[in-house]
Amino acid sequence: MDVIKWFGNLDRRWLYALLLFVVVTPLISPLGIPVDVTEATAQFVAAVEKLNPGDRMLLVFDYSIGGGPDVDPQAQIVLAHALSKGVRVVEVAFVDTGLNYALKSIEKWEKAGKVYGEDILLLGYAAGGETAISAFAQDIAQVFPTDIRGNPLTSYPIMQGIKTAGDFDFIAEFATGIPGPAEWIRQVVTRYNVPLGCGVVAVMGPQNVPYLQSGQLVGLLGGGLKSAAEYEIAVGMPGPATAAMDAQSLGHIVVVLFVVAGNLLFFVERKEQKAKKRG
Amino acid sequence: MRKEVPIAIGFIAGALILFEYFFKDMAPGVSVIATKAQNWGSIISAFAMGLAAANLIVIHGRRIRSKHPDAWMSWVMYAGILSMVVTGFAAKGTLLSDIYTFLFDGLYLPLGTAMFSIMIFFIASAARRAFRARNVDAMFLLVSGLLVMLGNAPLMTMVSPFFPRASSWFMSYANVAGNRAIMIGAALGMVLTGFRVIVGIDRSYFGGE
Amino acid sequence: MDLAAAKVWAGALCTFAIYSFLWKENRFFRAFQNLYVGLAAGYSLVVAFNTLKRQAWGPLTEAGETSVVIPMLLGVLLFTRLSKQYGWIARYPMALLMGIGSALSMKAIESDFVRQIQASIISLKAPGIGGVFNNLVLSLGTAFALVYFFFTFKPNKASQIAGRLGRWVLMLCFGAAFGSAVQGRLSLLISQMQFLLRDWLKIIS
Repeated sequence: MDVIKWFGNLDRRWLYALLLFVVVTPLISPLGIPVDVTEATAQFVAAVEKLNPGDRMLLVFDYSIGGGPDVDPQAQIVLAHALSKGVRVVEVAFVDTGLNYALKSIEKWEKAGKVYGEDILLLGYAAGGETAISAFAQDIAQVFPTDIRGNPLTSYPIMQGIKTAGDFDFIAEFATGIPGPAEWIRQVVTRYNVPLGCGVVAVMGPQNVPYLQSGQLVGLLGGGLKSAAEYEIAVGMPGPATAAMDAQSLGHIVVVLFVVAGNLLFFVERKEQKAKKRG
Repeated sequence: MRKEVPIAIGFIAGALILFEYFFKDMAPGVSVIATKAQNWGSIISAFAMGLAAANLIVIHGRRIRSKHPDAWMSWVMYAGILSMVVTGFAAKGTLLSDIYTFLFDGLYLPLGTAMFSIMIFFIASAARRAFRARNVDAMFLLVSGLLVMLGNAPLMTMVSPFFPRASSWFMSYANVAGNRAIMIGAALGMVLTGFRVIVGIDRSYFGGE
Repeated sequence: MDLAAAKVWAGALCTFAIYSFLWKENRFFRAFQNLYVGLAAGYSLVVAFNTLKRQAWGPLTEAGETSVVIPMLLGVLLFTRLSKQYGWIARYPMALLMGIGSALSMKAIESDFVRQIQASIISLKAPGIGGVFNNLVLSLGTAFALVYFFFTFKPNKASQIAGRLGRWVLMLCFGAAFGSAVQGRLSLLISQMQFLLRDWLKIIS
């Protein structure tokens, strides 16, 4: 009883320190806790697996800096998976900071030997959120007369025969807010029925599960970093997300313990109040 | 001029998009016009990004002029804008371009991530006081929240397969039912609000007179 | 010190500046907070300028696409918003944006209304009792939660019960949202710690 009360009155900074400790420790000495692949992630992996070499995927970087660490590992592993299968990837951003992540990925894969314009391409960024997505979906060359390097899209082999968003074999969109899956489903899936897989920050995950169940999404990485770790494991390419899972486990358990202790304190206080009233 | 013309512009633009949505197969020419209008919208939105920054500059200019005790912070903000803008247009491979990369990767990126990451401390600390089973409703919230959190911790899978299964069940069924109801309600709201804007009943975007 | 090392040290300094807020509100934190806002505004200006150059100026000067003059002019008119006297002119481009945006969002009637209702009409002939129960939760749960949002008629006993069940469904759904919010924010903290331990202190690889 006293321990619970002591915990209830403990300075919040001790709680911060405890949380920091349990997050940092497993990063320094990993515990190697196995990560299971959930069905939603497996569906996404299967959708990318279904693509044939030479197929074209549109990879959309709709994420901000604030949620980047949660979503970027997802985008990077999907990109690595697609390229390893010989799928050609066209990148685009409808959130300004997303452009920077896209630029970095292009730089990385060009260094790894992928040919810009043949295996991979970056269109650039367009402002206007849903309006820009809709315009882009209907006529790509109008919104992007040139790619990020200033050359006409027709000059690149990867863009041959692609006029609308419906010409892509698969769209993978990664989002931290608006525009997100809802906007892409409204403007692209409804119109062109192109397979869409989305990766979102964990906060947005639950609200997008209905789209997966209704078949409007073919895959959903709705658990942020954890989904990225699952994907890394499913395709046999463990990376930074997998390395973070021990810390994720312990961090969750600490928050759960805080909640449980808070509730115990609540019941103790209520019991005491009732006793006071009676007495 | 001040009311009728904007309402007419909004109506024509909205009606064009809706007409194209419903009758694109009957009148394919409309699609070309509608796409152009949307591209125009995207171009105007890029200007709006500039307006947002300009507004920030004006507001902080006022703070500096009024000799507010926190005016020094506005100068810091100005330094941020200026440094990003000056280096942002530099050619690749030059020193200024390197400074731009430094500003983005060395300051902007870690500041943004750190800013949002401190929220977990507040959530954890608030969980102790706010997330309590005060009544039946709160109990449902608590049970679902706890099971989802435990299911999200891979360690709990080793303890018992119940946790990931329970988390997955909440996500796939109870969560879908609730979120779908919200989605259906919100869709109706979007249609009605959209209609009000297009016909000029809702003029909140006019701003104050 | 080379650029890469400078970036790491600056990143570490930024992290400490922001985390200092956990101890208490301080000037160091506020300075970096304002710097963040400034950098964000500066970045969006650079990106917006480059976007306009590619999307509007290029087609106008290189392909002779004169129609882009109209949105460019309307875009410039947006800046009248900064003036008290001429602020009303900004309503013209705003009206165009609002008209298009509103009409586009109305497409939710198909993706978020019709399709979601269709997806809720599912067969109860599922394998096993568990399957039937799950499908019942999905269909009836959605229906009950919708009943909870009905405010246009006087509630009777049946709708009150359905509404209460609907509220419980919504609570379960909000609980899941809370659990996911914890997960998301924790990921950000982990990522920041990975940066400090790997890139700055070089303790982990």
